[in-house]
Amino acid sequence: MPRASKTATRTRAAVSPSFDGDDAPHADQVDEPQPKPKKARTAGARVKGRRGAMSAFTNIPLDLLYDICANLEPRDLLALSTTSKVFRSVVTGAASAPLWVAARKRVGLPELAHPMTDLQYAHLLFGKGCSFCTRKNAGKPEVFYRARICTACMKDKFADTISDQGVRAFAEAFKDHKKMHPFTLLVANQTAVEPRRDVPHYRLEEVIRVSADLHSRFPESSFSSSLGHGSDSFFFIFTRTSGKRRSQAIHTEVTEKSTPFERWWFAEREDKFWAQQEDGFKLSEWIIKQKIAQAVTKEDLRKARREEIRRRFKDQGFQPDEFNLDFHRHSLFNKPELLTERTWTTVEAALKPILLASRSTCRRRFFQEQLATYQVQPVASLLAAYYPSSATVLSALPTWQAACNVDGFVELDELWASHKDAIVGELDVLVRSRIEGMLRAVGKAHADAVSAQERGEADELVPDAEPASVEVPALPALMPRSDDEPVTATDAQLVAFLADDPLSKFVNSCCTIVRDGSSALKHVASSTCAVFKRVEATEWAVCGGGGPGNLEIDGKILIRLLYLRRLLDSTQLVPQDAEIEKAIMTHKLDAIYPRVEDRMTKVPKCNCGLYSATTAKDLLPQIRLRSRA
Amino acid sequence: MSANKVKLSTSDQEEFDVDRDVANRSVLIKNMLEDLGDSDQAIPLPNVSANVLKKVLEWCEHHKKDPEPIAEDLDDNRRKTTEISDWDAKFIQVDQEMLFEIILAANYLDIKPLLDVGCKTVANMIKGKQPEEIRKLFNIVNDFTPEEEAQIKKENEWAEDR
Repeated sequence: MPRASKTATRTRAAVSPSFDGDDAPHADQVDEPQPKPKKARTAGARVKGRRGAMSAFTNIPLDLLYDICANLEPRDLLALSTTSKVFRSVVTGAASAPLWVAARKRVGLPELAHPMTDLQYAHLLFGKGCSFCTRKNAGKPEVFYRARICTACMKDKFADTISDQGVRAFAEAFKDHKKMHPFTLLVANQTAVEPRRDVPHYRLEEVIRVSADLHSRFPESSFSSSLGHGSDSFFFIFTRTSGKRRSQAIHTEVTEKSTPFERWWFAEREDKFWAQQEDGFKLSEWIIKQKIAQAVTKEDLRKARREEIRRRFKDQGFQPDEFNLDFHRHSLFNKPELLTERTWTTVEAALKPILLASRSTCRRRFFQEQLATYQVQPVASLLAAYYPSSATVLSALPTWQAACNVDGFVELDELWASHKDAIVGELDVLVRSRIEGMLRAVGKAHADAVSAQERGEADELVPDAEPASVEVPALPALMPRSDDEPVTATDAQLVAFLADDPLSKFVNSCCTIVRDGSSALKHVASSTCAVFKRVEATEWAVCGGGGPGNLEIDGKILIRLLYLRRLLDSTQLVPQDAEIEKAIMTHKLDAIYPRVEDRMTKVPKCNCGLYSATTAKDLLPQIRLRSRA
Repeated sequence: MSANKVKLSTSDQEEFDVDRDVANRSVLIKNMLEDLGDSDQAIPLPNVSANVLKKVLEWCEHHKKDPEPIAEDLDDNRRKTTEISDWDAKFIQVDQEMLFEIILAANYLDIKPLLDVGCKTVANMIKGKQPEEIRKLFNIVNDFTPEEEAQIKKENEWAEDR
């Protein structure tokens, strides 16, 4: 029985002395009473993990505890060393060396040429805090210096010999001390040995002490004669600081000429120094490798998580198009942690609404695109040219909402095909009601204009008018005669009225431009209208009120417009600048504007100065009414 | 009793008839059988209860065809990796009492690979944890005095040696 001897080593149960060991199988083997701890602290309530999930193991024989620890990494052994006395005895006891060697091997850590204790070694790389202050969670391993140093201590307690700041710090430190011994920096620990790679920093307190020590042991008289260019000592310093092994660079033996310092150095420091330097390089390499590996693992974890989340949502029927930017940017999507069933519930709760919103947006955009094609080519309905583009207006339609919020994934084409008729029907009702509103507004404006004319006020509305009398055309037949009378005109009649009737003139309140009814309605329907995103569904294309997306017309404006119309009709066409006409001919632009009138400039015989001359074709819709009062 | 069967008797007086190649996974039983020769007598296992032995034999049954590890490789191999095969991982998904008992039994019966699976499982629970988390896991108290803690901190830290 090869392990029989091991059983004999179960001399003491691996029970913490504070445990009630009465019923423990090995309790009888605890022969010496342990002193009561002065302060027994239990793990804080905020520590994660189930309390006592492994409490059966408190009675485990010591040799099995070794077997368990043989599977751990240095960071775990270090953690165990501060857990309790029993665990500490396992990881620091006489038999612990193989545990540490195995643990280091497991993470690829080198054995050191100039050893530290196992715990020091582990603490350097995996410990917490700074060796020179009480800050917790500060400090990073300085492998050449063999200590953990935090940024604040590095700044306050360390200095280099190169920067102005460092030189000043050295001067300040030696203010009250004897001048620094020439070999101080050779002997003192430093944070780097390769000046070209990293500036070495020295701890000022240590430098002062080393200098004083060297002064007492090797007074300058013992070597000053040999200090100078070409001397061994010069090279000694030079080679040391340039990172080359001195024994290789100069000579390998101590000669009769050697100074006491050199003798001491070669006897006591040389090997250790180079060993420590070699270790430093190995360790910094290990740290770099570790960082790279960590970055890679993190990225891998992220990748795996993202894929898993996408897969799960795809299983729920979401499409790649629906994974939008908000989804991809979400912190829960990008966490470098694997997805578990427990975290999935959180992730799903946070990300699903985003995807549903995204799905709805995708559908809305697709529907809008479809509607846009109708606006260009009104095949679905005579009124399609006036369908609103604004998402707010469209989203207010019940049929539209229903189509956007259909549960589960449906191909966009299919969805549109099945909801198109309902949506178009509702849009027709909406647009028709708006045109009827426009019709009634024109009727009201017409009545106002006629009564103003009858009162003889029409001329006052158009100052400096010449000739002053404005003829108001008769109302079209489709106009309802009273507010209560329903509009019975067909869609075709309404469209014709909007486009062609001389009374069909409206001001878009968004840009205060006068247009004929058809253009005015198209303008508020299109996405080129400056306020189209701000339009409320109930406000859109309503007559009167002055809000964005409203249309305006009243008797005063109507009279002015009719006057302007008459004015324009009676103005003369004059030829453009002869030069321009010549250029048009040269460049064959007359092919684009074949009608002579389009190339003529209409010059109004008016001195009101409210508008300037432009081509006849563009003039009327572009007249800006400066004063609507 | 057939030469291919072995009778095992547990601490709670239950008897198990086991195939010899299954029982041979235990070095303890194997050596005993070699010493005893063919015998109808049940081998007493006073440190193992029936429910634990059942579980252990389940493992032995599954692993009865595993090649014998070469002695010198053994230590080296098992230290290198903490990975556990899928079947073993599922097998060892038991409550902590049973896990503890399995480890003790594997140690007593001298079934190194099983002991290894048990130890690795426990080790994986410790891995990456902070001291407080380990204390909570094993339900142990911090029995260091503040002075001792200060001493530990000092020992761990940088020892200025020149």
